[in-house]
Order: sequence, then C-alpha cells, then structure tokens
Amino acid sequence: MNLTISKKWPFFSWLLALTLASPFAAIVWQSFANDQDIFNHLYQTVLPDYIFNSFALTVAVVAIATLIGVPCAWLIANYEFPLRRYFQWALILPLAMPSYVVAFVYTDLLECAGPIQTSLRQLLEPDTVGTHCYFQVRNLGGASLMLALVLFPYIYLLMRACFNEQSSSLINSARVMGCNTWQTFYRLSFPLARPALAVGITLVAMETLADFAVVKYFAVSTLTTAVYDTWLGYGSLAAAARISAIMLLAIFLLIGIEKYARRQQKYYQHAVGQETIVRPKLKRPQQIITLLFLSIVFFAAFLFPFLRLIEFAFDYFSESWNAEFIEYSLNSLLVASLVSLFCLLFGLIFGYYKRLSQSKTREVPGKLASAGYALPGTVLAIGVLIPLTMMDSGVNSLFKSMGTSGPGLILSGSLFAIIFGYVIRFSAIAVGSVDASLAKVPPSLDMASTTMGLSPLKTMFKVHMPLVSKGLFVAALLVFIESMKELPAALLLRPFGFESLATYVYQFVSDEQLELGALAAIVIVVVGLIPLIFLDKYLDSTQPSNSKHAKRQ
Amino acid sequence: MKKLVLLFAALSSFSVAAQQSVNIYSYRQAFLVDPVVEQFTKDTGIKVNVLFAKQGLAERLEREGEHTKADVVMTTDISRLMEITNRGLTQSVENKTIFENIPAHLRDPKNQWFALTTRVRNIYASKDRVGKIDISYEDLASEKFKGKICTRSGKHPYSVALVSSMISHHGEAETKKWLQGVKANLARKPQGNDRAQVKAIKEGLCDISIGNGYYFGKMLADKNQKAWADSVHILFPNQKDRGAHVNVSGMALTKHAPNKEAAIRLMEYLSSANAQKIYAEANMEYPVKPGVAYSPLVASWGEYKADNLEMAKIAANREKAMKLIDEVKFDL
Amino acid sequence: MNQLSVNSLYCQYDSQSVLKDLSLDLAENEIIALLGPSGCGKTTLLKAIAGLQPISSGEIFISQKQVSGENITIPSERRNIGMIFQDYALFPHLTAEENVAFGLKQGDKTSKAQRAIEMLTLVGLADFAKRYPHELSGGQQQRVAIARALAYQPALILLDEPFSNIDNQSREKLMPEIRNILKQQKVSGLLVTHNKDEAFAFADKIAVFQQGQLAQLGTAEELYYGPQSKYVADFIGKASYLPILKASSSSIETALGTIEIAAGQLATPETAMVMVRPEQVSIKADPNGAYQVQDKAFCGHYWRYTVQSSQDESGILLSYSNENIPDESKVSIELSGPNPAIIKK
Repeated sequence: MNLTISKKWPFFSWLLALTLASPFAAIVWQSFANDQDIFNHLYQTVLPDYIFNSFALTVAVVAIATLIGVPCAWLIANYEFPLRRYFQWALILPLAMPSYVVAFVYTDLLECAGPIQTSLRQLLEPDTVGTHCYFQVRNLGGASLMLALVLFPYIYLLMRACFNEQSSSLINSARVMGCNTWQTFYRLSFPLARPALAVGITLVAMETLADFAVVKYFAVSTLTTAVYDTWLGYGSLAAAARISAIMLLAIFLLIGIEKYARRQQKYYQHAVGQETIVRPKLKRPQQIITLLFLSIVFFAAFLFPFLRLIEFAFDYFSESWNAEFIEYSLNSLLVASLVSLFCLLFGLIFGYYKRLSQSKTREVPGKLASAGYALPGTVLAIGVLIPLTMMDSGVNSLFKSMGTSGPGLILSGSLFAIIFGYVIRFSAIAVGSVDASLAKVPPSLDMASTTMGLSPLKTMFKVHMPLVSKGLFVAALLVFIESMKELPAALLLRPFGFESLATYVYQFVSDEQLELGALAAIVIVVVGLIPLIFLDKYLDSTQPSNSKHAKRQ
Repeated sequence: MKKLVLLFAALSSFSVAAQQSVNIYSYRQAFLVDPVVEQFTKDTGIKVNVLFAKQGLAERLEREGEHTKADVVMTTDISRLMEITNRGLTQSVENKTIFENIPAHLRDPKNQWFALTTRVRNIYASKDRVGKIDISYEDLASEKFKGKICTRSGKHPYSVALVSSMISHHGEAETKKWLQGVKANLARKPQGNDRAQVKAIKEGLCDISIGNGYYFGKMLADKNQKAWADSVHILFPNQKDRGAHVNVSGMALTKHAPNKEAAIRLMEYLSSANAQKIYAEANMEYPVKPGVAYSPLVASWGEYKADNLEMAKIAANREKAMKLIDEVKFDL
Repeated sequence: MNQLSVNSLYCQYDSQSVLKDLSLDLAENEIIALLGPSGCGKTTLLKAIAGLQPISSGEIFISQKQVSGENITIPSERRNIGMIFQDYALFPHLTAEENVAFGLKQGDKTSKAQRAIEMLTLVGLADFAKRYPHELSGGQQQRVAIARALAYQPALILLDEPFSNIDNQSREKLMPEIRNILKQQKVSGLLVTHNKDEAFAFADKIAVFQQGQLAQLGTAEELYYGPQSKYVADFIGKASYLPILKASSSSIETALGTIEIAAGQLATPETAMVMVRPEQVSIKADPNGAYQVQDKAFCGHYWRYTVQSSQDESGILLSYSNENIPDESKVSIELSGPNPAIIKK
C-alpha cells in the first residue's frame, strides 16, 4: 500500500518539524560553545547531587502519578458507583490548577512554620517554644507529591480512554479463564494500556524535568536549577544548554527503551460497532473505599488549593482587584486557542505522515517537534529568540539592501514569538495524542476507504476524523489548559503591552506573594474549567446511557 | 521615512500606541514600578510600557540588537546592571539633571547605569530570644548561633551579592570558611523568601535571619504578616566597623533605544524628588537623591552606616561567590 | 449426569425481561446449540452461565455445583468454563503460545509452555506458537482461541457465534474439526448461533429460542420434522401448512388425505394445523392433478416447486423434485417420509 495525501506532504512535514526544532537546535548548537570551565566546576561540586535529585524526583513523580491516575481511570472506566459521572470529570480539574499555585498553597500550609505544624505544637507542647518540626515538606518527597498531584490527570485521562475502549470480550475471556478482577487488571488491561501509559508517563516525566517553580518552592535543587544557575548566575548559556541537552537525551533514551520493549506488538482495538458496556455495580464496602479514594484525590489536587485561593482572594480583595483582568483573560484565551489549534494541526500533519509514509524515518518529524516539551520554559524562550531574531535581522538587512529601512522585529517582537514558543512547548502533547488515537484505527479501514474510491484526504475527514475526534479533542484541550498556565516562556517572549493572566500572576508568585495574585489565579483556573465542561458534555453525548440529546432531535 | 518605518513597526507588533512612549524591560515586578511610571505618564503624557520578567531580559535585549523596542532596563540588583553594561547593551547618559539627582558613587563612572534606590541587607533577630544586639555578618558563622539561623537560597541575587561583598573584604578562602560556618548554623535548609524567614522566627524555628530591610515595612503593612514583623527587631550589621552591606536597584538606557528622548525624560523623572519620594514611601527603600525624606517607618529605624564598597566590586566578584556557594553546597 | 443445569432462569436488562423461566440441561460430552434470531436472549443465557450477566432469579449448576441462584453468585473466574468469542478475543499483547498458556494455573513456566504447545498441536498450529494474533488469519485465530479455552480443561465450553467472522470455505472445514476436538477431549459445549446450518453441523441437540424462552429442544431431525410451533418450523427450514378439515381421536383429515395421530393428541381444526416439509411432498405431472405449478427454481441436484391447489386459494405447497416439470402444469401430490407434524395454530 502506498497512500499519499500529497506529494508535498513529507516535504512539508519535515520543513515544519525542522522549524519547530530550530530553537532546540539553537540550544544544542550553543551547548558546543567552549565553556568547559563552568561545566567542570559544576561537575566537581553540585552537579552529581542535582542529577540524583532530578532522577529521584522524576521517578517519584511518575510513580505517584501512576499510582493515583491508573486506579482512578480503572475504577471510573470499569465500575458503576454513585457520583461516578461527576468524578469522571472532576478528576480532570487539577489540570487547570497551575503547579506553582498548588505548591504555594501546600508549602504555606504544611511547612514547619505553617498553620498546621504551629497548631500541632501549640496543642501538644503549649509550654515550650517549638523549635522542632514534626515533618518536613520542603524536600524531595514533598515536591514529588505536589507535582504528581497536578500531573496525574495526564495519566488518568489517557488510561481512562484506553480502558473504555478495551473490548469487553477480551475482559470477559480473561474472567472466564479464571482471572479475578485484580488479575484481569494486571495481566490484561494494564499491559494492553501500556502504549497509553507510556505516553502519559513521558508527558509527566518531561513536565517534571522542565518544572522550575515547584522545585524552587520546595527547595529541591535539580538539573533545572543547574540550568538556571549556570545561565543566570554564571552567565554561561553554553553550559546551561549542555545540561538541557543531557536532560533531553535521557528522555529520548527512556522513550526508545519502552518502544523497543514492545516492538512486535500491535494494538488495534475494536472501537467500531462495539456492544454497550455494562459496568458492574460495586458492593457497598467497595463503594465506600472507592468514593473515599477518589474524594481524597480530588480534594487534595483541586478543591483544597482552589478554596485556599478563594480565601486569599477574599482576604486581599482590595489589593488585588484589577480592572484589566478581562483584557488579560481575553489575551490568555486568544493565545491558548491559537496555540491549541496550531498544535492540533501540526499533530495531524505529523501523525498522517507517520501513518501514510513508507519512509524509515517517518517517525522522526513528530519526535523532533516534541523536543521542546522537556526544555525549561526560559531556556526554550531563549532558544526561540535565537532563530527568530536571526530571521528578523535577515529581513531587515534585505530591506536595507533594497534601500529602505526594515520593518523591525516582525517575528520576535510580536505575538508570533509567544505563539511559536507555546506551540513548540506543547506540540508534544498533540503529537502524542494524535498518534495514540490514530494507532487505534486499524489500517484495514484506510484500505476499505481507499478501495471505495475515497482519496486519502477524504479518508482522513470521513473515516479517521470521526473515529479519532475524541482523542483530538482531548489533545486540544490539554494544550489549551497548559497554555493558560505556562509562564516562563510567556514572560520572556511577549511583546510590549501584552499581559496575560499567567504573566500577571507570576509577578506575585515569583516573590512568594501569591495572596496578591490569588484573584487572577482563580480566573486562570476558571477559564481553564470552561473547556473542561465542554469535554464532559462531549464525552457524555457519545455514551449510550445519555440518550437525551438523541431523543430531542 | 523614518516615521513610516516606525509606524510599520508599530503595526506589526501588539498594541504599541501611536502616541509618544517609552518601553521598559524590568527585572522588578510591574506592580512596584507602576505607581512611579503612572505618575510620569500623568505629568508628561508619555505612555510607558513595562515588560517584566525575572530572567532572560538581557539575552532578549542582546538578540534583538539594533531592532529592539526596549529603551530602558530596570533591575533590582547591581549584578544585573553590570551584566548588561558589560555586554555592551547600554549607552551612556550625560544628563545634568540626573547627575544632580544621583550622587557619583551611585552611578557608573562612565554613566552607563544609575542607581535609583539602595537597600540594606539587614539581620532580623527575635525580640524574645535575641533582642537588640550588635551583630556583624561575620558573627553569623559563630558557634553561638548554631541551629538558630534561617535564610533564603544562597543562589538568590541578594545572597550572592552579600557573599561577593564578603569576598571583597576577606578574600575567597576566608569567605568559604565563613559560608561553611553559616551553613552549619542553619536551622533548616535554605528555602522561601526573605519574609518566610521572619515568619520562621515568629514560629520559633530559628532566632536570626537575613533579609532586605524594606520587607520589614511590607510585612507591617500586611494584616496577616504584621505579627511576623512584630516578633523581630531589624538590625543593621557591622555598625562598629565597615557598615551594612547595601545593594542598589537601578536603570540603564539601552544602546539602541528607539525612543531615546522620551526615555531620558523618564530617567530624569525617576531620579527626581517626586519619583524618589514615591519609591521611599511605597517601597520603603532608601532614595538615592539626597534630601528626599525616608518614609516615617524607615526613618524610625534610625541612621545607619553603609558599607562603602564600590558597587562594581560586588558585581565583579559575583561568579566567585556563586562558585563558593556551590562548593560548600549551601542549598543542598 | 448433567454437566450444566439451568433451572427456571430469569434475567432482566434495563427492567426488560430477557430470559423468562428458562430451563436447560446439558449432559456430559454433549453439545447443544442455542438457536434463534438476534435479540432472543441466547447470548444473555451464555453470559449468565459464564457469570458475566447478573440473573434475576433461578439457578445455574455447573458440574452439579451451584454457581448462580438466590444469594449465590460464583464469579466467572471460579466457574471453570471456557469461552469462545465472535471476535476471537485473543490478547493482542501476547503470542499464540502465551495466549494459550494464559488460563493455566498449575505448573511452572515450562510445563505451561509444554501444555500450550500440546494444545496448539491439537488445533494444528504448533508452527505458529510465536506469532502474535495480528499475524494470524481469522480461522487460525479462532483455532488458537479453541486451544486456549480447552487448555485448562474446563467443565464446559461456551461458544458465542464462533464462526460468524470466518469465511464459508474455512468454516465448513473448521466446524467439524472443532466439533471433533471437543468430542475427543470429552468437553460439553454450548454454541450460540443464529445460523441453523451451523447448529445442524455442530450440535447434538438444538435449543430454539423465542423471546427469552425455550421454544423447543431436540435433535436436528426432531426439530425438522416434528416442530411444536410454527415459529420453530419456520426457523428450522422451509415448510407448508395444511388446515385440518376434520378431526377424530385417532386421525385427522386434510386436503391431502387422512393422517393418523397419536392417541390423546388434541388436534381440532380450530387449534391446530399440519406442517409438511418440501421433502415430504412428492409431485408428479398429472393432467388430472388437483394442483398446478406456480413457481419453480433450479437448486442443483433438485428443483424446488411451489404448487397451488385448484380448489383452495390458500392451498400452497412446497416440494422438491428431481424432475423438470414445465410451468403451469397440473400435478398430483403424494405425501411420503415421516408423518407430517401437527402444530398449534
């Protein structure tokens, strides 16, 4: 089979991938500049600790996020219990919560000098001046837990979709072959969901490695700290770039190992014409445990931080009210919408290139375009500035050579820069989701459609789109929410006069004064919630249990 | 023709108004800069756009080169001022008004940068457990404070500046010993901001912390944080010898400033008595213009002796300071 | 001894009864086909037996052990049954061999692998042990599924439309093959199908389902020539119906003559009619015949005729004949073979 949508498709895919990878290339190129001195100094002093911390943090975050996300997904996909429909979307809400907000709220609450430990001391030892802590939160464990709390929805979302789509006859056949619920889970459902889990874990690991705000709050020095130190403290972009490049290499290595491990397996699921799933009802004691577990997760990851934000906002209302919130919100919305649109479009371009091309390197463009995800935001921003300012200079010299003066910074000085930066940062999410969705469509459908005389482009719109639309929608949503929250890149890449909610909040967050920015932070969360509500409606309307829409028509 | 180009440039970017304007790259939070520039706009009709970022503005400025839209850079720390100066991103400003307003030792000998305020690296001490004592930075490494000191990250620019001033006075080897001594005295791993350390004193986790003076005033003004400030004395270190370490916030004109004229007007304004007064009152920093009154609160702390160390030296020892902090693994 | 007993089983689905008072016994080494149109409840029964579908009331016993009933629900995994699915349900992440070994509980890795190869050899796929399901044809996949279901020696094997995704040619080969394997392994089987030919070829007995109830249970021949209702008669094959003209205690009269009936069989013109299969109707060209050829079709080794009575508008009969009789010829009719069935109206 040799399907091509257009002869220019591969060329275009590669061009796009290279464009999106240009900031990354700029960083790698920088890393070869000679700055061995600083690197050696770091290597001899703190770098081993940083590497250990980064590694331990990533492992811990991935482990905790998996331990939270997978059971949530499993319970909601496979069992019926009260409030299931509400938890189904409530568990996505933590995504709308910026990690720095959650980190602030919890350090503020749980640290040694925070209200909980203070009250404990007053209660238990009212006479002595408390000079000790009951527990430390500002450490690796605390940071891991925080990051896992905000990142687990990635794993939850991907795994839930995967469990939902698992053919019921597979589950049934495992059951009749003597597997109990637990065995069915770990011998069948879980291994089948491995591709989805791998995507989720990769996203979580990359987010963790790129995080700066949370580890800073929790006083954990990681490789990201090293990147910032070398760059800002020592003024060596080269050494900083080198450390970033090492981080990326580690991630690609992990992805490669996972891919290699399941190189022979193919997972086409029968998503078409499936019988309706009957979710078994949980018994009372199981119900209570389930509800308790889900409630704790929801409370800890969303409700509590959100309530604290409201409390802060209420306390500091007069200091923090700003009439320009609406403008900031619109700016945030505009950028986030454009970015999700572009990411989705690019994800599709790479996804289809991979699906339709026979080339051995067909997976490379998508991977190249995803490289930006693991770069710490500020480093990425510098990476974006390098090629953009070069292009701007080129344009301006061209004008000059023609005897007129140039248009100035049309790329790096406009909204283009910020959108470009965000797209690079988040296209990994879209590429991953599109890939995972397309992988579930059996190639026989392509052939069926082609033989029925549909062009590949029409096949894409008439066959694939309806089948993968849910996956695409989720991808666009994730990008949207992430773009609402993303900070460092926004700060450095925005044009004059452009303020978004995130940049506004950040000036308070950067000084650990979130109280003053709480009101704006609430707006970020609420604006992020709007698309989540659509998601819930969308997911529901495709389920047979909710036939109201159909009946009305 | 030039105007046409400017117009084109303006159209190509996001909402840059057609009226006369000045663009600032600010390492200071916008909400601290806004009150002053708003007053400026009111007085002159010149619009001011502030772009705040904590990191990377120097890189952006360098990459943008001659096409940059930024006219003025504002920083919170001498090292940043020196960084952009050393990278050749600034130009000198020879302006009588500014010279009159800002004393010579608070501006660059070649007039590339100008300090706007000075801030002292104070020591906060628990009222109950320490009291008003004479203290020096050197004392922080002394055995008697074992397990009693709290501080923010050693990598923070304020900490680094203090360490580099120590290097200037005592040399690297001595400073390294001092850093090790301070680290050994820490009640907890460096974490949080300057205010968080005072909070920790209030909660009894430590007795002594290091922090900039204006935070004391900010905490007193915040209803939830007042209790923290009430539990400590603000001390001026090394009053018996060289004086307290001071840092500056400042400004510089970018090399390719497109709105140079308006930018210099803004710089003049920032050094004027009006603006300095707002700085003094709102931010509780020490104004650089002689004769501008301190805020009543700051004044109540009394006169103090400042370390006369040249600003340039603090900036020059910055990298050495960073390395020492890494070597003793101060934050780990 | 019964390998499976279902006693007056009721099942509900969205408050609609799917199974109503259903009882069924399956003897050792017996294969029964559950035959009926889609939606008649046959798959629900299969799932209820497998423990994949909750029941409302009734009892199910497997190997004399109660698995479902009031306050008793043994979970699927402890019922010791094998199940074969329409879509094969092979685990895509496991090889053929690993799929077969999946249900084995006893023994170490080597003995499990040995057993898996043994089973794959039984279904003729030993050479494909290391293949993944997507590397096998439909028929091969279904044979792996059979091997997998038999590997752990279940008390009973449930087959849910196992042949419907397999092409005709392979199916005709596969059906007797699998039947022989079941017989050879002495496993009782329950086959769900909507295709009577499959049921005929595969099962010892056929249970015809009608809206959640068992319409009739019997061997293929019993059902073919002795259906108890028009529903069963029509579902099992082509049939013609004759009204009863007059009835006595030992015989009835029809347009085709007198038919003897068993003593005590209640058959009045109001309540019953007579069913004849085309095989039971012989036709012969006869200018004085009371019937006329209305329609005919060539079916290979025979012709199929539809003939109409000249006296009675509704008297239409189907017949198979080896002779080619011209259209609209007059024909005479004679009944042969087993006695025509008397069924309720």
